[in-house]
Amino acid sequence: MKHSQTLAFAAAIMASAAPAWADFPEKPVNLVVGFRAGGGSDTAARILATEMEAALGQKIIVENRGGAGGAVATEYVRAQDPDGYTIGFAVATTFSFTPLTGSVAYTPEDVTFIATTHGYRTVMAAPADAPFDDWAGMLDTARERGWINYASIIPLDRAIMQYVGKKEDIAVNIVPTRGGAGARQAVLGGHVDLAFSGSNALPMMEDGALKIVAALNPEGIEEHPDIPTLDGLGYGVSAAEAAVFFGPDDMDADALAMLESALAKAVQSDRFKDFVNNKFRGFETFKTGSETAEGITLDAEAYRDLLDFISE
Amino acid sequence: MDIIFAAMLDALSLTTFLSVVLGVMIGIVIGAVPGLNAPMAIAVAIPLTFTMAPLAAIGMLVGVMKGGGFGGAIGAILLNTPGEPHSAATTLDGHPLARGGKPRKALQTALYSSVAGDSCSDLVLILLAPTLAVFALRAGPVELAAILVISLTLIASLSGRSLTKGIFAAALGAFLATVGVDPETASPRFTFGQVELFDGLPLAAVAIGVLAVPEIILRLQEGRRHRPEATSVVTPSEGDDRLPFREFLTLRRTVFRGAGIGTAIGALPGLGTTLAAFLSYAATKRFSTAPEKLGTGATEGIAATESANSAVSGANLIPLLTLGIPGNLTAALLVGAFLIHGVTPGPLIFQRDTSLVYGLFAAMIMANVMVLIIGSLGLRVFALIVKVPPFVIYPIVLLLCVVGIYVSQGGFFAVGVMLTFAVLGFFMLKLEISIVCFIIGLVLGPMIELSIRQSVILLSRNPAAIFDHPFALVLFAASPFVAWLLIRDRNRLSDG
Repeated sequence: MKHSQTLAFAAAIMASAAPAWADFPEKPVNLVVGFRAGGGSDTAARILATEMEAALGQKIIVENRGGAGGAVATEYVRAQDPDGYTIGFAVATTFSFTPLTGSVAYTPEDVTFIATTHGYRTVMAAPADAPFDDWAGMLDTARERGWINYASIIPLDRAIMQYVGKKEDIAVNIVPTRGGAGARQAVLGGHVDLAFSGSNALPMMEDGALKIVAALNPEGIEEHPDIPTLDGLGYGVSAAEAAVFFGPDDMDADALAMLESALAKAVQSDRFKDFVNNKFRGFETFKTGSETAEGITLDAEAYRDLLDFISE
Repeated sequence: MDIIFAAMLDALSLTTFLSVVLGVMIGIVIGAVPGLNAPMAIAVAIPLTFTMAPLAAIGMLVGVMKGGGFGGAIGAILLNTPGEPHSAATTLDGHPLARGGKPRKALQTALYSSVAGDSCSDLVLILLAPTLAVFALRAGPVELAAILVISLTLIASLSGRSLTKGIFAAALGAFLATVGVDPETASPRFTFGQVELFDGLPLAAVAIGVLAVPEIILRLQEGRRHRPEATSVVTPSEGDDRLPFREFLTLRRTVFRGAGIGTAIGALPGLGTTLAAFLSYAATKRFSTAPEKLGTGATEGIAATESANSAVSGANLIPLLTLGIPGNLTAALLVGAFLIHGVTPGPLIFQRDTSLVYGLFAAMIMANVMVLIIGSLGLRVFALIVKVPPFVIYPIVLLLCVVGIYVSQGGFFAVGVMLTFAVLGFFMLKLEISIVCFIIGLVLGPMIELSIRQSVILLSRNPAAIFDHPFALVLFAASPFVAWLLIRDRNRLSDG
């Protein structure tokens, strides 16, 4: 009896000593992941969720609502109560690029951004026996033959290659593939000259199974400084992809602050850092909610210019 | 060689063994539950492995994959409720045999064929992975298109009584498969503004809706009509409800054919289990000495489909390990898990991650043995399901389907899709329109569309390059002949 009284007293003191916003979270938080279970994005989200649990002192319930590159989860989350108990996980282009295609009903203004937790790296890969070793060689091959075959995965990489084709005045024969696996198969089998790929092409290149001629993310590939970025090649375009946590529009300010600081702590954990750097092979970066919103606005402007240029 | 044995011995540690056993059990149970399936089981198991040692984690996931493969057959055979499109092939003979009073025999056939098919393809993987992967890579969009087009002749041997109805069903399936984002232009087709439809109709929800739910309704109707003797509709006669090993040996040609087809399809990424299962079934029907028995509860039919779809799972690891190309959803989930546990797929994987790769192989063999042991022990229990009166079991099954689809396919939207397709399935059943052909259209449709559009784009600037694809040209040329052969077979069968 006495014991429990002491405990209750201690709890009361702790509660009064903590700042007012520490009321959040009073119950478990639902995290809606915009990708199917088991992939690299889902894994990162789940690792962050366990780390956030430690910071928030509440369970985080992870639910997968994959589809349409995060758009399914976005549509779901933005219709929920903005009390902070339902948040989402998607990528930057879910907000910066997908709305520009005109196929979804939301815009970046319809959600509250909580944080950016890590960056993705994307590259242009070529078969190991390709007749060229670098970007300039690829352009030469295209000019000599009259065209190059390119395996595309998502609308953004397609738009970027259309842009390159128009700038360089080469014919890019764009072969659609479903998911990274299809593009990988096409480039390794030599069925195309060039393919878009995520960072899983890096270990393949290190094994000598394919060549990488350019990076699409503006940061480039740190461990391979000889791989140029499209920006560095003078095109002024890039694919800035990053993992983004978000909530419904007009989210409760206290909840937002708590979640943002919990994520800031979560990305510092050794387990998460090891995953991002060594397994996922993305890069560490952290942006607050407002920084994320600014970045996405800038990206969206750049993509709009890109789309305007190719449709001229 | 030393390191290979060391790795294999390492895999025999108690932890690895226990995680394989646990994985197999999770796989069998989740795979057997109507509405759930093997990819779902793996997705559930992956977070459980986060804190495990790499080899134990991979062993467990391999166990789940293999257990789930056999588990899928249980629901298909006993309740006619396949959890995945490929299990629809197993219902063709499995369910009639179980309803005919031999549920254990049906399950035994499935178990032995599944383990045999799996072991064959694992052997090919272990011995030939790098060589085969390089060979398989040479199959590009043009070759895949050719294989898929010749596979359409399947409709001729699976369309039941009326070929016209079979073609209609396949066309309907292919049409519904166009729902979703256009692969080339990324513009939505027939999505009616629903973001949930951008990636197409949820396949498992459609398959369960069209196959399982109408069956449940029919059984419940029967149950209403003859409630007094409902409990005795199926009376397993203990005496001959077994498959003696000698009898299984008579199925060896079917099993080997299935394993061969499954291994070949599995090594070529992008074709998938459903195609392997139906191709093996059609081939068995073509070469069987008693083709008229198939579809009425022949062990041959079960052996054909189960050996083929299990063989796919082992062979799928060939492109996965050496090229990082997952051949289906299960493999895609595995590649993610491999990454988490520090196994990086690539051509040098055998040099770089020697101990893990050979440990994985050892775990695969172990998992096959465990599926056989746990499956055999469980048979008696599973077979009891058919003794439960329909009005008790089928409402539970329906509930499981709804919950399973809600969890695995994305909420109430998928449940709505399932129920809508249940109505379609019910009418197709009543009008005797082949549901199997519908599933084939639905599964093959998008693959054919994508590979043909890719081929056209690749050849658009240089049409003469088609002659660089002799294998594809042969298959295209042979397609009408194969179709004619299969149509002749069915006419002969219906005459006799």
